[in-house]
Amino acid sequence: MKHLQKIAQVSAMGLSLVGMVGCGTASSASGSGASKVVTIVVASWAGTNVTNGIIDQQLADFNKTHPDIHAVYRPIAGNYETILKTEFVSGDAPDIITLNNGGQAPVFESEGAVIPLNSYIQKSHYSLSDFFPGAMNMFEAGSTVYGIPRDQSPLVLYYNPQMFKNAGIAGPPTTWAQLQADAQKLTNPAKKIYGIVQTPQEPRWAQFLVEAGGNVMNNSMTKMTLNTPAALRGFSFFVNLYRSGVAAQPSQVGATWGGQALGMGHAAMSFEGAWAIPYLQDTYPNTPFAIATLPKGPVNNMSLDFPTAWAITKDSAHPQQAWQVIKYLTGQGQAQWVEQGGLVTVRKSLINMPYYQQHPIYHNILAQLPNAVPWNFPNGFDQYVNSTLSNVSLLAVEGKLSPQAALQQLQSQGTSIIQQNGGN
Amino acid sequence: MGTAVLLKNTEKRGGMEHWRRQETAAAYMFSLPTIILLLVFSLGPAAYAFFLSGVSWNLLNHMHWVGLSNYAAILHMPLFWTSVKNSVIFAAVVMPVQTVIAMIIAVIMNQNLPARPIYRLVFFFPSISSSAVTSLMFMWIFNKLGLLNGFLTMAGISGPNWIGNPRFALSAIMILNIWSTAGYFMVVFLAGLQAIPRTLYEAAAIDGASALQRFWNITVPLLRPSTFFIVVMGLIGTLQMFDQSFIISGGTGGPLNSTMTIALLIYQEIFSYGQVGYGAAATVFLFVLVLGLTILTNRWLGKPIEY
Repeated sequence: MKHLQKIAQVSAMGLSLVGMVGCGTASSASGSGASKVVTIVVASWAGTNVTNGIIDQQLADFNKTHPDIHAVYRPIAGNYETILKTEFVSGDAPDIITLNNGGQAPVFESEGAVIPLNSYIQKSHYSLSDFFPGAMNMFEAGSTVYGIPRDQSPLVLYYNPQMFKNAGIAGPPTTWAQLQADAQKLTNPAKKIYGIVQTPQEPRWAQFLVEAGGNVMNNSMTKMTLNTPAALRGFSFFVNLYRSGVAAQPSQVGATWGGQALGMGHAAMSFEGAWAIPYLQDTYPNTPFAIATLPKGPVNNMSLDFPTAWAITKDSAHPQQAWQVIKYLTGQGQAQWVEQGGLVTVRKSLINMPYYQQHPIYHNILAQLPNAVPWNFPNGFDQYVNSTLSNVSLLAVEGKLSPQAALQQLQSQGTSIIQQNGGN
Repeated sequence: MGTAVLLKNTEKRGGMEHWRRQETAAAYMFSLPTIILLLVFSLGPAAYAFFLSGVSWNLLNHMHWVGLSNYAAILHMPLFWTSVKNSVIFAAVVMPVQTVIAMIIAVIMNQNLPARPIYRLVFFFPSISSSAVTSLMFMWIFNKLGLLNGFLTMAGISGPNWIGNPRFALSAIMILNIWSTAGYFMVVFLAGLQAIPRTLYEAAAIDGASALQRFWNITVPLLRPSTFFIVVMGLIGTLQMFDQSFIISGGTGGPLNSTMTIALLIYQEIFSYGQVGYGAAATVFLFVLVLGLTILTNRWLGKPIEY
């Protein structure tokens, strides 16, 4: 009898398992087959609650006016590009993804993970001329358009006006010489206050190279240009801020990034983008901060720009409908994006919208926009961007490598990556 | 199908043999879900890793077979050897220290102390906490202006930038790891201690053995099965350390690759740098390393106890 009981239990378990599986397939089949509504999955990194809330609301608004399309938001928590790649591998890629700066967009573009949008743009007579060229160019390869810009932010100078006042400095620095002199006056190592607190990573020093008339790579990203006198001049200025003790790394003052150090009151200045505004307002409401355009170097006051864009994946079964969603998000949705998210618009026509007049903190961020180059690297530079650049600049900032030797190392390592990629 | 066979056999009313076969079949039926899970989520992927170590693939393109060239590539990669060095140093420090600390705490906890359950809970608590949470907690303790340096300042020592300085970052993770695993191994030792017959201690005491002599000559040798388990688990755990490095360095293995472990390198190569083949080759290397060290440990500690 006992055996029979056991056997009955086992078979019951097996049956229920089969039943569960059966239910699963049945329900999903009826879900997609019952109506003609096409589901479009839109993915982005789960950043701030601000962004998540806006995308949800924009898609809800879109769904109201487009009864045949059901757009849903899939926020991706954690390492966005990593998780996205695994979703491509498992054949579960979203229809629309957000392309990021810093060399991540070219990976998806050159591997064909996202599709060219030219034919959709032409068919729907969609105009690209309103987009800031910096943000637009980053998602184009030649004449092929892979992404429609979503938002952007240039690096600007954040500073603590109270500290400036206390030190008797009239306003934010407008030249490199003033930057160095002001940082000197504002530094007080005994109180753990430094003129500038900033991670010594490339997206915080490349702008100095541009301001000196150089750059990391040439415009077509086919050649490293770190061996030029202009590049050395810009990099040396940056390194010297640390070597002379007026700049510090965030970890030296117990912070993880420049914006945090500024909020904690350990930094008088830091270079960050618009993302630091809501952070500082929410996390450190008692620390005053203001924003200025970057101080001018020997040649200009160019900044780095960090644009993002919407793109359609190759796995999307409904690219036509996905394009409708992108058109909405980058058209009507764009103004909403600014008003609710406090983000920097990618459309030139929106630069005078009421929101920005009511929020003067954005004034100098918008003023910096015409002088900004997008932060980008070609496919194959992942490790170089994430590890090599920061490690070598850390060595230079700590005085273990001369600026010249550091740039030489970066030049030769970057060149060998380009050669490898060319050989493929 | 299995169920049908079993039912038929029961009707036949066989002897002992039938009964045994039924028992075996039933046992397999009960373990089947686990066996399937193990094959699908553990052994299958492990076998797949061997296959992947021979391909060139960046997750988005089409993979193609390149044979052993991934192994040649990682063996010539300075970063790979940095990660091997870090992992081996990490294991060589953490495993013995956590074993000794766990044994000492277990022996103390085995005495008739007041409020013993509370102490046991306190020591065991770190090992049931999420390593992500404890890593974040220790990031604040190790902060340049954090708790640890606060105590050091009181003692007149100017504390280092634990997480930001390449000389101290790995040590900081070692401290965190010892703190979080010693408690778990303490429980294993406690179980081992309760299995040691009291009579041995009484006899030794009558013979005039001191407490220290009893510890060295009775407790330590008779705990060998527990020690073997702890040393092997400790070796595997420390050589595969990933999460704490990942969280404390923000996924980079920095500063200056000082917290880059083999497991973190595998993750980076596969998911961040699109070099699935390199990552899989490093995985096979780690497998061989762990297997070799486990066999050596088995030779050393795996013998049965002889009284």
